[in-house]
Amino acid sequence: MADPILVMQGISKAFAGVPALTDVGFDLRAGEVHALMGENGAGKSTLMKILTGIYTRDAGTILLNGTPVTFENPREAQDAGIVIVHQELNLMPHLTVAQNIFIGREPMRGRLIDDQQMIQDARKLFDLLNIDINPAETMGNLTVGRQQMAEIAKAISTDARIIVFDEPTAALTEKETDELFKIIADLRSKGIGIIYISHRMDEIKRITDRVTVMRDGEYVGTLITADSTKDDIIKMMVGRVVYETPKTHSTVPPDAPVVLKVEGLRAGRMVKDVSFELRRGEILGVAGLMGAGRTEMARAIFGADRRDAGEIYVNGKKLRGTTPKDAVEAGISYLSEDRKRFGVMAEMDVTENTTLATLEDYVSGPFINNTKERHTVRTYISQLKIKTPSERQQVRKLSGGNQQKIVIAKWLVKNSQILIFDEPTRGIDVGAKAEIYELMNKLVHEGKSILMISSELTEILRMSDRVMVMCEGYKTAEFSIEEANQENIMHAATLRN
Amino acid sequence: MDTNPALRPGQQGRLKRLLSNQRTVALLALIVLFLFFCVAGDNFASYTTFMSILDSSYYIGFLAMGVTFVIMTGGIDLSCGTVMVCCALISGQLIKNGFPVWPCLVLCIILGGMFGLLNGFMVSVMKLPAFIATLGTMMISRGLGSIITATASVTFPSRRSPDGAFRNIFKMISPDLPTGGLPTGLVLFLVLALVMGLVLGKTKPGRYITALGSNKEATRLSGINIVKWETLAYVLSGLFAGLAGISYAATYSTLLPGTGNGFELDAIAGTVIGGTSLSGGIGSISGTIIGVFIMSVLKTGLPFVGLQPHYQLLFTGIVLVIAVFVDVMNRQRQKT
Amino acid sequence: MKKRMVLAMTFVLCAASVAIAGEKLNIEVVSKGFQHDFWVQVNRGCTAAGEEFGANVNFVGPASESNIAEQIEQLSNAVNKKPDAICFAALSPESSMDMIFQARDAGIPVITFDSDIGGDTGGAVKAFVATDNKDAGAAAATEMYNRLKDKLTGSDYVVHIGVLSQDTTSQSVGDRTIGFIEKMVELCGADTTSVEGHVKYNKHVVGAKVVLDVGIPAETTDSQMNTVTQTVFNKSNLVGVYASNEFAAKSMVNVDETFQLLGPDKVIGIGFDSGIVQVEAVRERILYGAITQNPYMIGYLSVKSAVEAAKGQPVKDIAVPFFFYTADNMNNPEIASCLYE
Repeated sequence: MADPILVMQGISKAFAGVPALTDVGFDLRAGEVHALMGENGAGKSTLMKILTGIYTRDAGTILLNGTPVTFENPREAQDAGIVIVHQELNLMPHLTVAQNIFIGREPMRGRLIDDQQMIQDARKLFDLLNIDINPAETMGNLTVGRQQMAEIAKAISTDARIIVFDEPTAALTEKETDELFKIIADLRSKGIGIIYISHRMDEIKRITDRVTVMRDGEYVGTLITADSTKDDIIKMMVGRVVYETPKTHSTVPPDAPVVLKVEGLRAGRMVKDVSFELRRGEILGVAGLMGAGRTEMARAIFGADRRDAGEIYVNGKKLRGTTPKDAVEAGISYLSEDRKRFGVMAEMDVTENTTLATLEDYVSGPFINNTKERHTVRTYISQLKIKTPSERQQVRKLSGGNQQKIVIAKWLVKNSQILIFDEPTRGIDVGAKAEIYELMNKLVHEGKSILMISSELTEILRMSDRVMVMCEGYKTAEFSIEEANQENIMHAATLRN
Repeated sequence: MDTNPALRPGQQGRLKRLLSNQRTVALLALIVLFLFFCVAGDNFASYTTFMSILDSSYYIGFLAMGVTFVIMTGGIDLSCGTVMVCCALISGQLIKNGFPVWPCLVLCIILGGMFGLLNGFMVSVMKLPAFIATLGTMMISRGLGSIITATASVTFPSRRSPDGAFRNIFKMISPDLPTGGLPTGLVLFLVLALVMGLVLGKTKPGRYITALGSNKEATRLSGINIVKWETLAYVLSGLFAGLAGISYAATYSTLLPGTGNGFELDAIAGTVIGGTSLSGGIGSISGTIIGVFIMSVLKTGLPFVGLQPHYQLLFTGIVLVIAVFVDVMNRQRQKT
Repeated sequence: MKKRMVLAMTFVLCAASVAIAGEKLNIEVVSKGFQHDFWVQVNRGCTAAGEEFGANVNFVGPASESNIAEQIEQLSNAVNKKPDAICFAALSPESSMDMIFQARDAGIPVITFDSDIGGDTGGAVKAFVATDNKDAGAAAATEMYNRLKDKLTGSDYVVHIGVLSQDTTSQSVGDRTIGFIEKMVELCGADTTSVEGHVKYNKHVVGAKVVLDVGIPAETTDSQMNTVTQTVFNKSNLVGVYASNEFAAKSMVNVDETFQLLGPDKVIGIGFDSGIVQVEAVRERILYGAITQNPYMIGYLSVKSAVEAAKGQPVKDIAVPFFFYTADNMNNPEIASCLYE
């Protein structure tokens, strides 16, 4: 194999005296896809931020093609051929694709920007990468997947030799993911070194050559992907086997009562006709591609958005109200896919977040009874294994998985019988993911019902008792878990395309 | 976000954590300022100066207490200054026309609440941006004050007349008392600050207001009636503007129509200096009180060290920028 | 809604033009607004003169005395209406100059009152009707000097006299301030009297026996004025305080509630104009006295001059008499009629 183009040795970094990285090593060869794995908080992002000049290291060396380098800022790293495609894309939605790609280095004619040249250059770039995007299109009109490809094109256009992908598929559909992998394979064949950060085990197996695992800011080990199993990698990450076996049959008794019935639901442009029933103790998986209207359906049931037509029955009783307040009172709760925007109060503490929906129960006289509140919250912290120094910790400072558990805790405190979980494990590390699965199984065991929206087919198949599939605002299929498989779900999800 | 220093709080210095709280920094700044003027200014450390500081703190303080609730929701109330003047003008005009004093003063507070209700309605029901809605109310209240008084000034009953007894709420003066009078207003001020501090920090309305400032959608999706609580914040701001109007009348006797612009900015500045975040969700009444006193100590103190009063604006501006900068720095450090 | 407003406005305009169609003269009065009761009295004088001499008087003024731009707009409107004459009390002489020239070009005679415009107006301003503010300020200085003679000449320590002024832009307030300062300096002796506190009036004298401390706020708000007043009250060996208008005098009385320095045998306070706060303070001998102008007369004589000027008769400047009132003489009918609450 070729000599490494990048070697990082003995990298250490501390924030305000708290070590974030301790003596971490990493290397990358030309034409290699090297996965960097670890639970949230393992130090992957910090390491990559040091590589790309966002942070400066406290100790250690970085060798680029054998030469020691130090980057003071992202610009210097970029000039040296190292770029990062962030999890959250940095783009200007109101500019065109070409303008986004060439921002800061626009081709000029005299003192004016040469837009034609810019569009031509962008087109050449896309041809090179086999990407089908119109460079003159406004960035905001593209799907997230397309935007990401534009961002990759931008990286290539700076003559990058090393590209870091930080969870690139988190927001992509299966089809877009396939396209991305084709591009990555193409880049690899061009001799570019790729560092790939992801939580998704099957992706790692599919496209990477080697895997380096980190844990708690330390280097754990590096494996050749082809020679190792998923379990090997997961064991290195968490020190225990976490995957449970997929469901083979429903555990819901056939005579279980219907707790939620939706009939002919129509809402906005995205939800055209959806009817289904959810039984007591059941997990109903909702599969579909992005843009199928699944989130919009959930929001309409919960009253977060207006519903234009259709009836909702809770325990046989018609739900009359149209606000989230009415839904909550009827025993429905909603765990949003977008935790930051719709889930947590980031500036507030664990306690305040957890008791928000049930505050009435903690008011004695004019005041909130902090002792009672604390007692409840502590119970849930230990029950859901929420990792937090105290119940007064600001939620902003906790990891994604723990934030998700806090939102779940909020609804458990409320004792909602019908839980709508929209992408419950998105952006969450493997360990926390397993815990959330375990929790969901426990909840249905206790007689609660879960409507689970997920874009991960493995997750759907692992957790659901029944699967419904949506496409373009319509329910296109429903399968028992016995009959459901990847193929028939994907078929139903693309039925109307 | 990979590191999580918060998980290891023991390793962070106590002092450092204390200094990362803007309110603590503001309190230190207030003490340092006060001590500086005591040492550097002739006659500053006197009872009458203390009373002067209080006189110029009450109305801004009340405005700021109210506006803190609005800012906590992530909104802004640009109308509180002119609403204050408008309410006082209307009730003063009624007193002038022979209506009894006390009901008119109650009316002054209620009127403020009505303006607040209007703001709340426009912001939470009509979904207007708070900046625009309250800008409208600012002009409406200013115009209304001028119309009702026919642009003539309104003077409240003097201390010597029996109707002027309301002034004792804010300052008790009599030959039997020490020169400068008794700062009865301070008692009211601190009691209200304490009560509002408890409301914001320890009650359901306060918690909901904080929550919707932190994340409005998430709060709504938690089944909370955000229209109600957001409106309440504006109503509180209005009620306090009404109260501020009374304290203004008690301190300065006369209200001029067409004035009041700029007071809201003083109130907002005090709130922000005290650590309340303009994006909502973070803040405290105690911080606001500290911020207000920083401003009035500056205003009262600068002439004692030989600087003319217009320097106060300059220095307040500098303090404001530094205070917010410290906050921004702290936040950035916490993020990494 | 909008349409109805337009209709209503059209109606008002029509009604106005019907009135104009009569034989009566039209006089536009642009005052400083109604913030101070002084102007209510001026308005009464104007109205009385209008009735007496058969003229339509339209009395306007800005919502606040710091609102110079609004007053200029009102003056501009007045010129555009092409009245027979304009009476004008300038908030800011410099800013009004352009409009005054426009009035001249339109052949509209202008009578200034209360505050003059000053400078060369090319014959636009026919007459100036006002209290001689400099004289009035000087009169206040003389009254204070007579009362404090012993302390001002006989002390072996430096004594302070406070001079409070609302702003530096208005001609009338400025004249009262400078009139007081010049007279006081003259009476106490130019070699031994220092003027300090504001760049506009400063005249430092080393080894002075008497110091005049001038206090002028950055903006005309109650709170800023009080801060300035407090600064003056904090001077040691303060013997007298002069306030050059109602706003400043009110601040003097308000701040004294805390300091309790003013009184017959304590610090001598002299105010200017009336207003409830000031009049009561004089009555209770907290203030030694105050100068009162004759606002009714000012309004009356302004409109009278305007009518004469409109008819092409010669007019000349009128110095409207003023009075110094104390608790002892304030009930004299002649003076009492000038006081307002």
